Amino acid sequence: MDKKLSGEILVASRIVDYLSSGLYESPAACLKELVNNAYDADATRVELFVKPDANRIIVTDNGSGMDSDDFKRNFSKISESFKRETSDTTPSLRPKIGKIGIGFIAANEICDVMQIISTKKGSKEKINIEINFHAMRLPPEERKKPDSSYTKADYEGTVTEADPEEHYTHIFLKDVRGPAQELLAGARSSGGTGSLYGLSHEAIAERLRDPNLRSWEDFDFYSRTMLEVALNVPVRYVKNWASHKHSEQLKTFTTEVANLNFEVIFDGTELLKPTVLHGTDRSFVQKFSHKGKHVSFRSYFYVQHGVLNPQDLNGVLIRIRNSAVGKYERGFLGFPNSTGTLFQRWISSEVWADDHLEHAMNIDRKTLRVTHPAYLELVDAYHAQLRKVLVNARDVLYEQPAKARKQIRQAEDRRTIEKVAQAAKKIASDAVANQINLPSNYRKILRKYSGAELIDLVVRVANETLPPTQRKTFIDALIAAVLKK
Amino acid sequence: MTRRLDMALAQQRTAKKKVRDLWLEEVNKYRDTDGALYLTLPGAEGLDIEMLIRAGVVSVTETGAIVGEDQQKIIAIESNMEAIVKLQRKFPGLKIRESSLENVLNGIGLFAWPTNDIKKDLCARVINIDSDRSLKAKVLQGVFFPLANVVKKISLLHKEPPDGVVAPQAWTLCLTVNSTINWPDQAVKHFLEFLGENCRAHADFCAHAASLFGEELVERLKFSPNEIVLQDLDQALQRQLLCVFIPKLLISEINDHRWAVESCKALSYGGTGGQAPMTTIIMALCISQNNSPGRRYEENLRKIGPGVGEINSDGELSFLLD
Repeated sequence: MDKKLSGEILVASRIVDYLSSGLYESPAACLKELVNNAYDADATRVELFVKPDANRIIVTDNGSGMDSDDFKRNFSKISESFKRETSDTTPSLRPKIGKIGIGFIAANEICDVMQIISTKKGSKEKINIEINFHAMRLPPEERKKPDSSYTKADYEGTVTEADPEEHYTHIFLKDVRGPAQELLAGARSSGGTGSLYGLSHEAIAERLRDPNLRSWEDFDFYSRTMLEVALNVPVRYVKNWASHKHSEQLKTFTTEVANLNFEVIFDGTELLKPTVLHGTDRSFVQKFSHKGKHVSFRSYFYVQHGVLNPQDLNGVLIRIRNSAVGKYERGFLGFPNSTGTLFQRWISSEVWADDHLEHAMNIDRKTLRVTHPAYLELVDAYHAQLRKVLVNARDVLYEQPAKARKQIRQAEDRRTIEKVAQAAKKIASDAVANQINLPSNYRKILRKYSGAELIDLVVRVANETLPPTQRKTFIDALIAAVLKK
Repeated sequence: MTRRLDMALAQQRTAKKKVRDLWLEEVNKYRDTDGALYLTLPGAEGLDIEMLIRAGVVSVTETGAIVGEDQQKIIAIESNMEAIVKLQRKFPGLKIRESSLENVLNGIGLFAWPTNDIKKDLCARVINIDSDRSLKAKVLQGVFFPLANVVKKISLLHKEPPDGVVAPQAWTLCLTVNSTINWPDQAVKHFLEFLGENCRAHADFCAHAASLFGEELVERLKFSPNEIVLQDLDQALQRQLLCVFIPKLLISEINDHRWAVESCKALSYGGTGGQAPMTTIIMALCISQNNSPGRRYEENLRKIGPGVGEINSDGELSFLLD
C-alpha cells in the first residue's frame, strides 16, 4: 500500500513574520509547543529524548495520531485559528491549548528537518513524512527546481499500512541546529549543583527544595530546559509542593492538574511542575478568585518570610488552559516596585485564568497584550489582591512576630528589674527598703529602656547616692542577682 | 508492526543467550578502556545492551537512563525510526546512530570515509554485527561479499584511528548471520574454490578441514571443487563449511592491516524447532608481531579449525575438533 505523499506548507504571512522574528528564543519554548500539541491530541504520555548528544531530538506520544488527510489538513496551511475550527475541546474534552497549529512549525527554530511518523486509531495508514525546514527558509525563487516551474516540496513522505489498533505520533527533530544541540548536550554549568539528568522526580524535588539553590541558573542548560518545559505544560505538581503546611489549602490546584492525566517523560525522568515551595514556619497562603466582565481567574499567593529561593519562582505565573504563559513574572504584572518592595521578593503566585484572557495572548504564548480589556481587568483585580497580601505579609510575617519578640524581651527585663529591686531591699535600711517599690509606670519605663540600660542606670544612681561601703555591697548583690538570672 | 529482525532478536533462545554470554566475555576484556567500547546493531529490543547493563558494564541512573560518563561506551546503529524510539525508550541516554552500518561507514569502498566523530565510534573495542540475514554475495566483475568489505574498513579504522583516539592494540569482531546459503552459482563456485585453494596451500588448515568435513570432501574441494553440488551436501555440513569460510574470508580482508587472530570461535546454532539456522563468529584480534603477511596469514588460518563448533538448544557449547 506504499503511497507517496508530498506537498507545500503554506504559512500565513503574519505567522512567517513572527517566525522570522525569532519567536522561540529557547529550545524549551519549542519543545513545550510540541508537548502541548500532544496534549491537544489527547495523549496521556509524551516522551522526549534529547541525550546523549542532542543531534536528534525525539518527541513521541500516545495521542490520537494522524492519517494522511489529517496531516494535509494540519500542515498544508498554517493560518490563524484553524486548530479550533471544528471544536474548542479534544475528543476527551480537554480544552485545546493550541490555537493556530504553529507548534510543529516551532520546531523550525531548532532543527533543519522534522520527520513525523504517525498513525491513527481505526486507520490503516501510517504516515512517514519529512518536513524540510531548511528548504522552507529559502527565498521562493531559490526553492524552484532547476528548469522547472515547480517548487520543491516542503514535505515528502510515504503512507504505509498500519495496524488499525495503534495510534501514536513520533516526531524526530533532525539536524538540530548548532547552538541548540551544543546547549542541550552541553557541559555542566560551572559551580552549579549540576545536572538533573537521570534523576527521579522525587530527587529533582529534593534538589529544588535545597535552601542553597538560589536560581535555576545553578543547573546546566539541559536541566533548565527540563524545568522550563515542566513549568509550561499541564503536568502534575510534586507531592506536597508547598509543604504539608499548605497542601490542604492548595489541594484544588493540585487535584485539578493531576486529573488531567497527562505525563511527560524527559530522557526517562517524569517531569512534574518545578513549583516547589519551602512552606517555612513563617509562611502563609492566600487564595483568591475573581469573576469579572472581561475575565475570571483563580489565584493563590504563597508568601514566606525572607527572599524566595530559587528566585525563578518569585513573581506571578499565568496559566491559560492549563499551559503557562511564559515564566514567573517578577514585576507582578507591572505592580509598583515601591509598594512593599521587600515583601514582593517573598511571594510566589499563580493565576489560572479563563479563556477570555487567551484573546489577550500574543502568538508567542509568553506575553499578553497589555491593552486588552481582559488583561487590564486581570491586572486591576490581581493588584488589588496583591496589596492586601502585602499588608498581610507585613502584619503576619513582620509586625506580629516583631511584637511577640518584643513582649518576650520585656517580660525578661521585668523579671530582671524585680530581682534587682529585691536585692536592693535586702541591703538597704528598712526606711529605704520601704521606699523601694516598682514604680506603677514601670511598663512605660520598659518601653523606653532595655534591661541592660536600666541596670546601668541603677548602678550610676547607687554610685552617686550611697556611701562607699553600702555602695560596694549593693553592687555586689546586684551583680549576683543578675548573674543568677 | 514488528519487524522480522526484531522478532528474531526478541526470542530469548537458550542458544542465543549463550552467544550473548560469549559477547559479554569479549566486552569484559576491554571494559576498563577509555572511549567507545561496544558498537552494536541491537534491533528494537536491545537485548545485548540490556545484558551489558545487567553485567554492570554501563551504569544506569535511578530512572534507568544511562549515566553521562558511560554514554559514549555503547553505540547502537539502527536505521528504523520506530526501532530507535523503542530503544531510546528502553535505554534513555543511549547513543544511537540513525543509519545502516554501511551508511555509517560512508559506503563499503575505501575512498570515502566517515567523519572523525563517527570514526571514533567505529573504533569500539567490540564490534557486534548481529544480523538475521544470510551472508550476501554479489557478482560484479568477480564475486565479493559486502560484509567482508565492511569488516575490512572497520579493521582499517582500528589500525589507523582518528586523532584523539589511541590506536587499539586489540579488538573483537562479533558477526552473526543466517546460515542459509542462497548465493548466485558463481558465488557458490567461488566459495568452494576458495576453500579448496586454502586446503591445497595450507597444510594445517587442510588437516583441520579434513577432520571437520571428512577426507573425501576435502579431496574434492582441493581437486574438483566445481563438481560439488552444494545443495546435495548435508545441511549440517554446509553450515560447517560456512563456519570455516566466513572467518577465512574475514582474515583475508584484514590480514594486510597487521591484525593477528588471537582466538576465533565459529559456531552454529538454531536450525531446529522452527528456529532459523545461524552462524556466529567471534574473532579476537590483536596487533601481530609477525611482519610477513604470508606467515601471518598462515598463523591466522590455524586458529579457525579449533574454533569451529556448535551450541545446542540447551545452550551447551562444543568444539568439533575437541
